[in-house]
Amino acid sequence: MITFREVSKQYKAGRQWIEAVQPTSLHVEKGQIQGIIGFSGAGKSTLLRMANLLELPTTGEVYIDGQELTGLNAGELREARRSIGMIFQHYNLLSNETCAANVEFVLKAAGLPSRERKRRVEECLEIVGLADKAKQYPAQLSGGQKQRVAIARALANNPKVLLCDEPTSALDPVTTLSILEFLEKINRELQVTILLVTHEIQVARRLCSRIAVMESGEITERLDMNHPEIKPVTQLGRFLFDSAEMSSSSSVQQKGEGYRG
Amino acid sequence: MDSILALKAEIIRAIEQTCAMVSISVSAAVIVGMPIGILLFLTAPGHLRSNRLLYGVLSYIVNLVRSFPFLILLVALIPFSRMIVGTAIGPLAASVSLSVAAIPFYARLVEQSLREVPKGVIEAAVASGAPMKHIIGGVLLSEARPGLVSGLTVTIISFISYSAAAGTVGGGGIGDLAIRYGYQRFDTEVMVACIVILVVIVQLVQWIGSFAASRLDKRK
Repeated sequence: MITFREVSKQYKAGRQWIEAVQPTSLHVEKGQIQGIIGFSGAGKSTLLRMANLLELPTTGEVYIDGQELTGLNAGELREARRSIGMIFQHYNLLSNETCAANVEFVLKAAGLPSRERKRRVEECLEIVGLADKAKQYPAQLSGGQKQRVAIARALANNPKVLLCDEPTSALDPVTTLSILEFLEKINRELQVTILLVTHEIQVARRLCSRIAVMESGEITERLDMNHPEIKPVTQLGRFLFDSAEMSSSSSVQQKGEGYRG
Repeated sequence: MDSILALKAEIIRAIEQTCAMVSISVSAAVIVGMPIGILLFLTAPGHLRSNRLLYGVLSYIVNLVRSFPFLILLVALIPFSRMIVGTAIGPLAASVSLSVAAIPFYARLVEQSLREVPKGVIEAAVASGAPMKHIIGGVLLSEARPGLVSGLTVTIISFISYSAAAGTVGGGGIGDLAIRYGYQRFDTEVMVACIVILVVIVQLVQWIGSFAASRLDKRK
């Protein structure tokens, strides 16, 4: 569903060239949830942002559902982006518009007629459980609710792929869990393939079927989370998983249980 | 008081002239200046339609017009006014010069307000595959609404005061009345009356502008 073929990204910072992502390949099957973890500056966000060409790769190709994005013209790329939803750490909602208008914006931009837009807005807000907040402005919502509006917006055009750039990094653990539940539900019920970037290993472990570990612009380790035994070999992989082992039983899960009960 | 009453008709005419000059020039600012401001924002380095040449040229023209002292611009544009409206005298002729000054003035204010729109919000719209006209209308202008209205308020008030200078080329208006009667004929009463009228108009414009801007701002 998502294929990066030898993509790399270099950019100029002052006088010197910085290699944000070294030539990297990654393939995500339809219906999977692929995580990319690593510390800040590892290039994971840059890699994610190359999936819808918000960041143009210096070299290499990007394919979504068999279509090569890197070979499209501007109009075709806009069309293709409609089937790629995206959510961000800081939600990026229109602050002067209501929640409903935020969702409606992407439908209007896709050229949907007014009546269908209204119906779809209701449906999407329903999916994230915010139908009652339709007329409110983002400033009146909590962080978790804002992210749910952003999810509704990302789902509006029935995307095949959902890109998540640190979607829970600005949220507390309980809210994080509820957002993860929504993402799981979307993946399961709507068959949306998810590519998620996070530095929170708990989030990746909870959600992802596969995890790629990134370090200084390279994928250094690929883990299959459905495998009975997960044995990270890289130092970073082990560090992330060991620290997760230590706190997994205490923090997120316990709070999660409390939240559910 | 007598002199004011005697000039009642002239004062009312002066108010009308000021209003005409300000509304024509501010309309020009919105109709022409706003698109230029949007273009300045979009073509600036690192923005959506980054174009160094176009940005450089536009920016240079805007700076050029804005660096003229208004009185000099007014005189320099007399032939131009004559060409456009057929005369170099009167509020209509003055409106031409005022418009030429108002367009780059508001264009810069529009550019500045658009820069206040968070980059991430624009990026989210780009990521959703929205075409440029939707990004401009639905994201840029909508998110910058309060700033655009505040900028408009500043423009209106500045051009009420600029319109007074237009009196020197026979533009008319309240400022002109204050200068002709109050300053040149030492009729303090008329001058005070004119100033009071201007103060009231400016206060009113500012009050309405601030109110509108805060009503349009949903960020808090």
